[in-house]
Amino acid sequence: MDSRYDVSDEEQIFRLISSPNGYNEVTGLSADNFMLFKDNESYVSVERALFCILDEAFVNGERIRNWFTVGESLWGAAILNVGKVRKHPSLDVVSKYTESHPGHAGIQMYLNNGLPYRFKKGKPTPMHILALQTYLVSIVEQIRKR
Amino acid sequence: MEEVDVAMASEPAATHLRASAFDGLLAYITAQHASAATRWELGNRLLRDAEHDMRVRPAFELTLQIKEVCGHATPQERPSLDAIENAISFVNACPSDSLLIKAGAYCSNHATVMLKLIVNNTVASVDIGSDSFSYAIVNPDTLNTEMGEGTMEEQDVVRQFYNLLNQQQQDGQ
Repeated sequence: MDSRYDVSDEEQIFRLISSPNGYNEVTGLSADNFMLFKDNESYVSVERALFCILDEAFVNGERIRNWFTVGESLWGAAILNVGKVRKHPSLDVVSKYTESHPGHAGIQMYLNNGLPYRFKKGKPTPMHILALQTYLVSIVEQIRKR
Repeated sequence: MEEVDVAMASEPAATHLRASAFDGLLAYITAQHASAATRWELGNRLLRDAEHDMRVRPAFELTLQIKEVCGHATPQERPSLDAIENAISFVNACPSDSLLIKAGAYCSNHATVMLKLIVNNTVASVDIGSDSFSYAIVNPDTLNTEMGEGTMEEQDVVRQFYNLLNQQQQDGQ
């Protein structure tokens, strides 16, 4: 197993959270934090703790400005366990390793019809995607404010 | 101080009390001129009214939260007025406030209103747009998932959502 390209169940991953839309003090994270919102995007970007400490992930998040939609800014990070993500049969975590960004990984969502979801402004998230996102917010192990 | 007959004093006051807690408070203050028995009676009514007020509070607070998060959203992300009204209607359709005790509203990145409700170990997300909505109810332990989509005219889908959530609540007790 090459840890650059294979993500083990024991690993932790970080998903950066934006504000003000992504977090509520009573109910925690919104499912929207695991939204695919770019054209042809097929995975939700995460950072692997194996390659990147949280502070580095925050720096990367600040650098990659197009992570956030207009008016949003980096708020913190959600920490998830890879094995728990994979417990859902329609979810997987895959490595997106590159020399310049070794900790990059993606949560892939598989739909019943196999087609990629493309978001449309003003339209609610399709229920299959919403179910996967809801599962992801429910298994977040820790939320860390920046 | 003039003594006031309890039956006569409480009936008009009760009419006010039913209106709202504020009216109830007003009636109570006014009743300070009434007898101890009258005040006791009105106090009881006020207590019942306060309990009623507590009962409607979760829905009221969630409605306020919807308006607040949408008000703070940038114009690009702000849901349409129809979407906001739909979200408020969705909350008001909730048959039991116990389902709304742990509930939050978010303004989604794609200009919809997102609600999150937590009942026992179950997490529900509802994404509400200007003419339709979708929902997912997920138990992360069992992976049991319920999903649905509909328009706001389809009240049976809204009822189904709350019925499913209510079932989750009962199963957890």
